[in-house]
Amino acid sequence: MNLNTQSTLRIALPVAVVYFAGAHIGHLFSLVNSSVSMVWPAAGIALAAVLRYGNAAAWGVLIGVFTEEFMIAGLPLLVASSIALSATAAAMLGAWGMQARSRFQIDMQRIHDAKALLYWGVLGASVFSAVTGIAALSVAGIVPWQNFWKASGFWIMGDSLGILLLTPLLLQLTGRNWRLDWSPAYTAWILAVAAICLLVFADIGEPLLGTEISPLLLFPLIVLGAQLFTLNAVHIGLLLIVVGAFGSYLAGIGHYAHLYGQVSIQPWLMVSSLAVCGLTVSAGNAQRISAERLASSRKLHAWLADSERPLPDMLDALCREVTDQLPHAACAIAVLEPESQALRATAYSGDIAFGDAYSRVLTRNDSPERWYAAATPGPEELPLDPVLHAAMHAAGYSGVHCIPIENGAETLGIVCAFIPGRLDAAGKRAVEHAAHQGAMLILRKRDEHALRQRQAERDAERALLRSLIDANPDLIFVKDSAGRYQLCNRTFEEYADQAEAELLGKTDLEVFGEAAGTPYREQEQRMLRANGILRNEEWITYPGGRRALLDTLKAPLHDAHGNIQGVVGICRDITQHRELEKELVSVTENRQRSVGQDLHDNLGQRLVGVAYLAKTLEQQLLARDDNLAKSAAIIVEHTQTTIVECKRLAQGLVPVEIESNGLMAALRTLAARTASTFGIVCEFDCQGEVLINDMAISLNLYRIAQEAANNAVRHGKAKHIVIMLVVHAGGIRLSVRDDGTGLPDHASADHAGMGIRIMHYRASLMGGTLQFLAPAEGGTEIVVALVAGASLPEAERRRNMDRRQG
Amino acid sequence: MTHSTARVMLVDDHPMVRQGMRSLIEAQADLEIFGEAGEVDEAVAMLAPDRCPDIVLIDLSLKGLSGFELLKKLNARFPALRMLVVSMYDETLYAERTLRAGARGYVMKQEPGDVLLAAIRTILAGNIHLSESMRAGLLDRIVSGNTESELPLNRLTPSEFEVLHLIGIGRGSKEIAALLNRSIKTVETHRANIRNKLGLKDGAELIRFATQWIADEP
Repeated sequence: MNLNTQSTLRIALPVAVVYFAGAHIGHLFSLVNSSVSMVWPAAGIALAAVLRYGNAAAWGVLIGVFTEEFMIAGLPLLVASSIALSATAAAMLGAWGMQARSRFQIDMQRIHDAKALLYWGVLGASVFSAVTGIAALSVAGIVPWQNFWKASGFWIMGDSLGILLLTPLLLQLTGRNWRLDWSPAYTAWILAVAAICLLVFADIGEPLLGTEISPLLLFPLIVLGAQLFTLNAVHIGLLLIVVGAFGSYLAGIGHYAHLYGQVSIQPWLMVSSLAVCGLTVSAGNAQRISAERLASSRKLHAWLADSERPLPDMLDALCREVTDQLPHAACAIAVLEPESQALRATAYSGDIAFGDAYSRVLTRNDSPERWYAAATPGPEELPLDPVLHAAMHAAGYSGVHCIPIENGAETLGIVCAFIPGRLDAAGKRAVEHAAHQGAMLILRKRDEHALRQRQAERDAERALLRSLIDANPDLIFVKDSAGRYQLCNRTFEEYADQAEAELLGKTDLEVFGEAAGTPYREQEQRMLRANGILRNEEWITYPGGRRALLDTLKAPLHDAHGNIQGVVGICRDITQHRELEKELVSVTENRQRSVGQDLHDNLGQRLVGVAYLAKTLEQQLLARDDNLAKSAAIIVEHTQTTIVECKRLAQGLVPVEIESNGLMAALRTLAARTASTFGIVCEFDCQGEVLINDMAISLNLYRIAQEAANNAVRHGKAKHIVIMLVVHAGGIRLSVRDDGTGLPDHASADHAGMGIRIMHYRASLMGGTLQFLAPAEGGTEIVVALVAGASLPEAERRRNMDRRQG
Repeated sequence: MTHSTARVMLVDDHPMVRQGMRSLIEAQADLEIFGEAGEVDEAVAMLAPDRCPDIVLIDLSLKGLSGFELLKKLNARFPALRMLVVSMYDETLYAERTLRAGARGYVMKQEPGDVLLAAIRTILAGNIHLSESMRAGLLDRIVSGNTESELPLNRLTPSEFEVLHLIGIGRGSKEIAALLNRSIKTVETHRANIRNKLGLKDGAELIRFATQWIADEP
């Protein structure tokens, strides 16, 4: 026996047993002297089983019918088999029609489901079963052919009523909501139904009321029950009526006593119409309720969308919804605070007495455990918390039904309905519904709160970043990879003469025009392709006409995954800085010039005078044949040497040589002078004829060579210096190499002394680069490289010249 | 000339130089001091057609380069007056120009006193004094035919030339005005004239030309 068969049997056998029992009950309703039964519950059982359990149940039906017909009714094997097959086929046909054709839903909460049951089950299945069953009996000769339609009619009546009464009831009972809620209203209603049944069908009231009480009284009761209670609650009432009506008819007492012994369809008609009435009205009612639910959950969505509404307000509204559905009840919601894990009274609805008691209870900040203890025993139990219970009692409430508001395993709070009596299923659903909606509200609010908090943190961070950026005097901007501005600071706004809001999303072409913007764009594109950092100096003009020199640094902006997002740029205004540097150089230059001038024009002249005087002395001593003449001659010689020294010194300070004979001659003189002044070897090496027409470049190169040679001797203790000047197609290269101790590590531009900084500055003034190299053989090599055509812009050179003049 | 000794006039703004020269010259039997002057006007005032020295020693750096001015003035007024330039400046720079302005010789101050005396005597004898190297250079130029007579530069007046020179060595208008003891306006006029004569379009071009010219000077 394989697994499939096993599970099939597990369903089929109980179905068969129940069917068998149903058939026996059906026999109770058989007409006097006839095997025709007015109610055939087995048909309802068969259809319900197939609807609920599928084709496996069909086997049970088959076995049940066969057992009944063959073993109990004693029909021939063939006939019994045929009837079994036809009944099973009828149940399957009905189930197929309802489910596949009419999309029947098993909980029967829609009027559409009631219609599907009526058409396919009550009519379709019973007609099929009756016609095929009677046909089998007729073929076997058990039912004469002339009685075919009549017999079929009775069969149809029995089956259809069985289906009508039992299928919905069984579907409900085998589903989840099988329990009946014995609320006072329902009890009263059942009692009323029973009482009328007794009055009408059992002649109990006859001595008092005669036979005037009509079964028609049952119609309003059924309609009322269908409106107020669930479908299965109504069906319990219907079963009472069925028993009553057929009891009256079959036993010959009460209302249908006059029909006793006759074949009449009156009881059947009344019971069927009551059943159809109850079924349709309760299905319609269920549909209305679920429509209302839907509407209320739409309302919830509207609340959720309305983030301005505070949570307590929303929960209050939720409580009101519960109390709308549970008259005389009160509802309270307490929410568990995430931090303290304490329940806080959040919302309630009900009368004032309840509100007082409730708030007294909840202000004690009860632990959730205590509330759960109250909530978990089940809806039928009374509340366990004596304080709460006492309070509720005082306020006139006898029961509390609490349901935790949950999100998976996490508890968010609790919904409690305080009710005067017992809670029925509808009331329970209302509370559950509130708990479900409450969970959504709380979670939503919690998310919103977290979101707001994160937003606030982000805002604070942004504000901080913003003020840092805005307080920065540098121009700062961020562009995306398409070159559109994403961010800029106040200084940049000033430069672009546009507010940030206007700038964002625009490209340089739009902000600065095509001519000015295109170079920026191309430069950034190149940088992004190379994925490197770009640093340069550029002149810009502010809207007011002020010109500024910027030290611009641009770097690629990466996202978290290292992909290039755009460009971040920081431009520092170094105009003043550069002015000061120039001032410094020019002050130094002027000082040197004035010292040089003084050496030349004053000290030198004095020495000239001394030389002439000494010469005079020498001549006079010579004339007297004095030996001292020799000493005088030595003075003359020394003085003349000193004059030459003095002139050289002056020239070093004021390099007239450059102005007269060009850089080559000046450097040669420099080398010679360095050699003779410090007593070392200093060579000048120049390959070919170097002609530099730019005075500013010559002077700067000269000064760099002079400073380098001085440093080599003074700091590097060099004994051999080579100054080399090379002009090639690519530009000019000046190098000063020495065999000294080398430069200390801090010789880079950032930390160097003023001399080295000025050397760097001079190189940058010429648009060239200055490098400190450490050759393998020791010492230092300072290299200035000028790229052809990359010298100063014309305006800059002019300014420079003007400065020298002024 | 009735004098047995040649009379030498000294024009130098530095008193100590004058003192040295004076003592050296006075020590010579064939030379005597005619007078001394510290600046151009003083020197001019000392001279008259009937009262002239045999030779004037002129320093170029009389308040800037007014030595040139004096050379030209004296040359114009007393064409026969013999003048020797005695200067701290390099002869390669100025010697030729001073000759053109009327001097008969150029001696650098760092040269020994003997050279100065020899130069004085050479000029008194009616010759021109230049150092050997200068002389060689000049002759070389003449031989190679590279003269500057066609240069537009020669169309400049001496004052303009002086201004151009000062511009070339990096002086501003204010400085030049102070050095030459003229108003800035005059200097600016000179600058404008120089530009016109040399066909330079603006101040920057003038500066470039001047510096280049100084640098190119042999």
